[in-house]
Amino acid sequence: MIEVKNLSHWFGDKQVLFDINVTFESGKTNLVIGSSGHGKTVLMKSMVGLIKPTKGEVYYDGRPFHSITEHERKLIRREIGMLFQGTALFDYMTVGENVRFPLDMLTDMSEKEKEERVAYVLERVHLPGIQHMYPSELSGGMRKRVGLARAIVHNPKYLFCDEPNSGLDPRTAAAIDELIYELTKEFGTTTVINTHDLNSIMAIGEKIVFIYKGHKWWEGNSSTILQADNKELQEFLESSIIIRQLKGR
Amino acid sequence: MLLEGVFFHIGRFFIMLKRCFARPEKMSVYWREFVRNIEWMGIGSLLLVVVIAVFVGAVTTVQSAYQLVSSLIPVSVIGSIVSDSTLLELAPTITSVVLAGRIGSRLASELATMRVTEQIDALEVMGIHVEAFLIAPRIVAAVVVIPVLVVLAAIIGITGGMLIGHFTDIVPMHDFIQGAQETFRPMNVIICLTKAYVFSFIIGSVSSYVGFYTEGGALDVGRASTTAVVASSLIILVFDYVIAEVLLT
Ligand SMILES: Nc1ncnc2c1ncn2[C@@H]1O[C@H](COP(=O)(O)OP(=O)(O)OP(=O)(O)O)[C@@H](O)[C@H]1O
Ligand SMILES: [Mg+2]
Repeated sequence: MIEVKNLSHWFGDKQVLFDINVTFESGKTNLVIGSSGHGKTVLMKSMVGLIKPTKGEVYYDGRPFHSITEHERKLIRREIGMLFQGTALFDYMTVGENVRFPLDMLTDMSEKEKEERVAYVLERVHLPGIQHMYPSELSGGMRKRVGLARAIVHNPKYLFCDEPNSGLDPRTAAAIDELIYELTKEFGTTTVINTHDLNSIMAIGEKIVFIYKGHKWWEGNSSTILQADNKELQEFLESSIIIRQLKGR
Repeated sequence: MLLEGVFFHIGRFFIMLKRCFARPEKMSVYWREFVRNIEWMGIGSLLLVVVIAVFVGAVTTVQSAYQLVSSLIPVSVIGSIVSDSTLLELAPTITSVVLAGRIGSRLASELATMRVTEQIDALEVMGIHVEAFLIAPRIVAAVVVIPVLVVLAAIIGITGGMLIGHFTDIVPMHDFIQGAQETFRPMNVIICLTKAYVFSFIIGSVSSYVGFYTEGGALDVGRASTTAVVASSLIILVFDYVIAEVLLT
């Protein structure tokens, strides 16, 4: 469980997050949705400490994250896996080296165990046997999936995905959603996903937080979202023809 | 304003260096990073250094002969001028300035790319000591490789000067050697090595600093690599003077 409490952030004198309070539950896919530029990435980066929020605190299963020492923070971070919006794969390393990097750095696994684990997670993201390739030789969708493999390889308790399926064809996008969902169930991970993909919202929105201009504007799930009494949220959803048709029925 | 900027960079530079001393999570991964850097720095620069050293030695011999028009001065003086100036100044300084271009620019652009594509953020989220992992192995590699190249440049430069002198009938080989021996002092070697170590540290640390703290996008990566070359070359020349003042007077 991750709790965000009274989180606000300013860039200079421009406020981008306004007193956010939200709880992300374990074993569930928690979605943070909202239009481009409304603060999803800044919220996620504040949660993992890549941005130090101006105000507020984040608790990982009750443990504060920002008001502790750098060393203590590093220990919590080892339980975090993150897929970046731009994948952030190490481009001088092969796929295999990328995926096993967290194992190399953070575990005492033997060479053989690491190789097996890497092969296993690559299989889970439907990319078996590409250990020897370099990120530059992969398509965008493949890179996303390798990024996901690296994020989950050390069995993190907390998984963050910043737009895991943006820029992918619908089938690959759905496959990635499904995979994240499965992993969340299998390991009881607390999963937080930034997205503005309406398919994802309907498919894996076990908990949905709608961010509007830096405010938490609405909270619910995929079965309540279409009926939600919230003008900005409905406008956001109605940008999709399918949703319009669905609601028309 | 300007002074403030200078102090800001100096302060942040030393904080960066201090963070390089964090205890490695896994020595084997740091070692791999070190070896990778040694390889591209050494192998990639070898031919360049050899070619430059031969020409610098040859030119020094020819120009010394041109300046010594009087028949009262024995030609063996050329040997002493060439070997002294190569050891004291030409080998360490010219080699280092050239390598600031070759090694410094690549160090900076590599780290800047990692920064703007969020690879450094990815390391940070994993809970890794980022400076220790990325910068320390690069500085140490530079301090190991560059002095070796400087010593090589000195040997090749002096030998090259001697051979050119001999085969173009400027100064016979045994006169050259005799001249070189007459004015040789162990201090010259000490100065050569001091400069080599100081300059290599400057190249490694200043270029890493510039790359590591790059902000922005692809354009800024190019800018970082230019800044790294200019900054480390200038700082090298300042320290060239400082070392000469301290050790020669
Ligand atoms: N480093 C920064 N400096 C200043 N402003 C920033 C910075 N990063 C983000 N912002 C601003 O914060 C706001 C929220 O940006 P954010 O990246 O969180 O949007 P987002 O919801 O993730 O959008 P997208 O869906 O396009 O990824 C934007 O107005 C952006 O301009
Ligand atoms: Mg974003």
